[in-house]
Amino acid sequence: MKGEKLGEFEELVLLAVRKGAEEANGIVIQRILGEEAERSVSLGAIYAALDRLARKRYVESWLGEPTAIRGGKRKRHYQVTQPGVDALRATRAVRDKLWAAVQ
Amino acid sequence: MNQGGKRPFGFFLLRRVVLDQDELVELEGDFTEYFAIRRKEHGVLSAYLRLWTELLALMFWRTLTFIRNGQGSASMSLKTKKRGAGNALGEFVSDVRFGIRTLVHAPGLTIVSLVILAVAIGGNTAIFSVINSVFLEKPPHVGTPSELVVMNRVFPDRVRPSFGYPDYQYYRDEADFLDGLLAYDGDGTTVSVGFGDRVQTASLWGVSVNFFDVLNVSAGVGRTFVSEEGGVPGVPHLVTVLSHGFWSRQLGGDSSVIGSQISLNGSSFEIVGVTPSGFRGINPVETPPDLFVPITSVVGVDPGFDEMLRRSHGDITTWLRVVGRLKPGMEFESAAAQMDVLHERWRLEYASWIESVSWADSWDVGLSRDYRLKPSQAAELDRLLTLLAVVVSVVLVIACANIAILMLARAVGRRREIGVRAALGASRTRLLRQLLTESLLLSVAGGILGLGLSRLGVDLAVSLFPYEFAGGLSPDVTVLAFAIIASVGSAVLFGLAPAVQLTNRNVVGSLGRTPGGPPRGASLQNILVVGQVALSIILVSGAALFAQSLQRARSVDLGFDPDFKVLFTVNLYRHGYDDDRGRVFVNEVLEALRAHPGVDGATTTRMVPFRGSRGGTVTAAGTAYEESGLDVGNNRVGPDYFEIMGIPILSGRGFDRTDAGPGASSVVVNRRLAEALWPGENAIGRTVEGLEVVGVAANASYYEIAEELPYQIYTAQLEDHGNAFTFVVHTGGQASTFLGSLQEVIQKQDGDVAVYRVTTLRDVVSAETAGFRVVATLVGMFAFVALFLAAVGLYGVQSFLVSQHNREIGVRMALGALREQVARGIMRSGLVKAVIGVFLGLAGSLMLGSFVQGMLFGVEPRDPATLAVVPLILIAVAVFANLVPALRASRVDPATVLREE
Repeated sequence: MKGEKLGEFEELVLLAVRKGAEEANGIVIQRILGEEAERSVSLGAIYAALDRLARKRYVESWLGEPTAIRGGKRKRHYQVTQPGVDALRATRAVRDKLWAAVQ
Repeated sequence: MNQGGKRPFGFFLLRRVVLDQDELVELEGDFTEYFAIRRKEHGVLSAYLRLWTELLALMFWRTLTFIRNGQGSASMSLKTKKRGAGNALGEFVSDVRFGIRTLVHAPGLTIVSLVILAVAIGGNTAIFSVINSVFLEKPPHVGTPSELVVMNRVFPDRVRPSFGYPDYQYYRDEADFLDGLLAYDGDGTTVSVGFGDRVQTASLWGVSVNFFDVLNVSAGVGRTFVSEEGGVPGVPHLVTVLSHGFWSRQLGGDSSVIGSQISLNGSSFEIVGVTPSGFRGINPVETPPDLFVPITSVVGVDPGFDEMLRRSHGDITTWLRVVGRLKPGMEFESAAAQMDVLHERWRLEYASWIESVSWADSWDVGLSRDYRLKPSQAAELDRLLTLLAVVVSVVLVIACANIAILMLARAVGRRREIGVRAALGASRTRLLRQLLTESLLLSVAGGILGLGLSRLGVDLAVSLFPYEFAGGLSPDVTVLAFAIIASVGSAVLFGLAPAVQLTNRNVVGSLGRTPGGPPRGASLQNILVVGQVALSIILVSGAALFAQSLQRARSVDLGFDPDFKVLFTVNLYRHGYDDDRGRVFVNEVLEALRAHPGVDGATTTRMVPFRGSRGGTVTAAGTAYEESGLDVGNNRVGPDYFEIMGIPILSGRGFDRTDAGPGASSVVVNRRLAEALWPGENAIGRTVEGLEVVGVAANASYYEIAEELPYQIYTAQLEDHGNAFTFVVHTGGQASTFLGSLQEVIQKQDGDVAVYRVTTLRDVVSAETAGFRVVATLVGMFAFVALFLAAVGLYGVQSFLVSQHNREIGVRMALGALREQVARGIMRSGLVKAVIGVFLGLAGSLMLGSFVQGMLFGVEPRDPATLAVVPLILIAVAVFANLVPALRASRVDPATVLREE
């Protein structure tokens, strides 16, 4: 943990990357956010968030194999790194603590 | 494999947004996948719309990231570093970043440029799209409109588009060289409609049963009329076709209403069909009706039509517009020739009638291809569209000129910066590319805004029209493209101006100036400001003149006051009244109407303005027309007619109750007739056709607006009840609220007398003027857009240039100048320039005046009001544009300004 703040949107994207497991890319994340969080988000916003997360080293990415539906283009997959998981846990811990205090 | 992987159109945008080859490949993959999924789930259109939204959003986020981080994306920044400085992508990134900073640095100028681009593109496109769709495009749903021809009665001095029903029947049955001949009553009738327990008023057209077939229009729901429905009224039974608008508004677009009954003025009609959405007939200047019924069935809602249908051939009461369809492949000329032959046959057939009406053979029947307009309107519209094209161009020129000046002003403000960069080794190509990037940033943003605004503008303009547009209306692509190319083109072109200067000037020399001092181009600045004011005045005055011209062309003084008048028509003759009984009845009804609460007066008239014509030839002893006679309109009117209609009596008197009765021998003539018969003399007491002239009334429109006003005589009503005539009731309030209660007055007098054509005079006038009035309004909007663009541009340039003097102001204040002195100094120099500009502009306007004279109508090219108001507004804008930065500058702390360099 390097004391980097995790914004609310970044948190959601990070969780979506986690849920998408190894399949996670921009489109999958957009769908997960749409279905699970009922938030309609543009791809551009997601890419921007992924960039920020990559810069904080919370996600890592690699290129997959080309597929037909992508017009033979390769696909960038995202995965949450250990620091990313730690950051998510830390955020949750703070919230749990606060919830416990108000309930 | 499947087609899912096809790259959709629009991806070229990605190449502009994304800076790195690898990333481009990935994103392209993502978006291709996105598009394929979306298309499978929601269809192609939705997929495209979403794709473009996503691309625009991506652009937005990229821009934000540039500003925040100074780089594209995390992965990209590494690669750029690897490749080192100097690569094209890296330069593009820094150009965009730098461009955005420069634009943000001068927010006023940027906002003004964006507003001008957006309004020029959006406003122009919106207004022109609507007019184009209404007046220039094919009428919606009508099959092969090029085969349609309209029949007119052509008189030596005028053209009338209307025919009587028996004549229509004759031509319809005999014109076998045509593929059908339709007729309709485009003036329409107002009826009260009952469906279930709801009652309301609606407009209705009587149309020949082949109306939809000849136009080649098939029903949107149900069917149109079949030939059996056009015979004897009510056989087999009464039927109606609803307009799509009425059906969806009032009946909720429910298809199950087909086959059910609807009550029109108490008669039951079966709903057989609904027109397709957006169908509005073929004539853009007619307001399409809510309901269509066969002509012969109009009797079911309006007993007076019985008489109209039975009138003899050639009767001069004409009320139907007649339109035919050429057989496929038939030449128009050959059809016109055959129509001439047919009309000769008609003449032979009705020779005895023509004999009895001396002027009845004075007309020919003409075919016209301009089926969309009344003949008198076709020429009018031609002129109008020419004017429109001129006004559109003027507005676009104003926008382009302003953008150019704004860009030049920016260039003036940036000489030093460019000089520094050149001196530090930036190549000319490099500088050009940077300036180009900036211009493009600005233009693209302005273009997108303009695109959005055109959408909004079209919706706004559509809402002003009384028409239903088929499936909505989109901005016209050609105009949109032209407007974008013109304004973006001028932005890019003039955005490069500073770079061009580099070739012919010693750039490094500009470094020798005091940093930030009055820019070396001070004289150029002055020229720009003066030139802009002058140009604005010339162009805006021009636009204003054209707009006024259009307004005048259409808002011709009616000569009567159409407000607060209810009209309804009776036909006593059909109810067995003779003259004596009729006179008693009318007097009693008039008394009852006058006693009705809220009624200020009541009278009668034979003719209602714009609802047909009636006239004859008069001779007057001792005048130029003693022998030959003069064609005049003739109206029989009741007491107080002129007072109630608001037609001023210029000399003598109008009719009162003493003019009633048999043997009445007074006549009132309009001014035009008085001046023709007795030029320069007093008309009162003279005789025309044996009647004594007791008054001269002001001219009033009777047949068509903007036509030369007719010669008109008025005789007293109460000596002839053999025909239909109309009660005119002057109400103390909103006329439409009296529609129902006034009919009851008649019913109380005699329950058998049918009341029909109940309407307000305002509605009659509106129907006549609807289309043109809206065009005039739109063109007025153009002039406003022109003034707005000029004002915004003037403000932008002036305030920007003044703000360039911040340093000079700082120095002067550091040396002890007072705040007020500084502000006053700036104001003075700004105003001197503005005033010089005003004089140059006025001179230019006067010089160009003779050039545009031929295109103006009813307004002088040197119209003093326009030439006074436009400069005043622009000077006010100039004052404001100088005042704001002057005050801001004078509040600056001199130390801060001096330290800035």
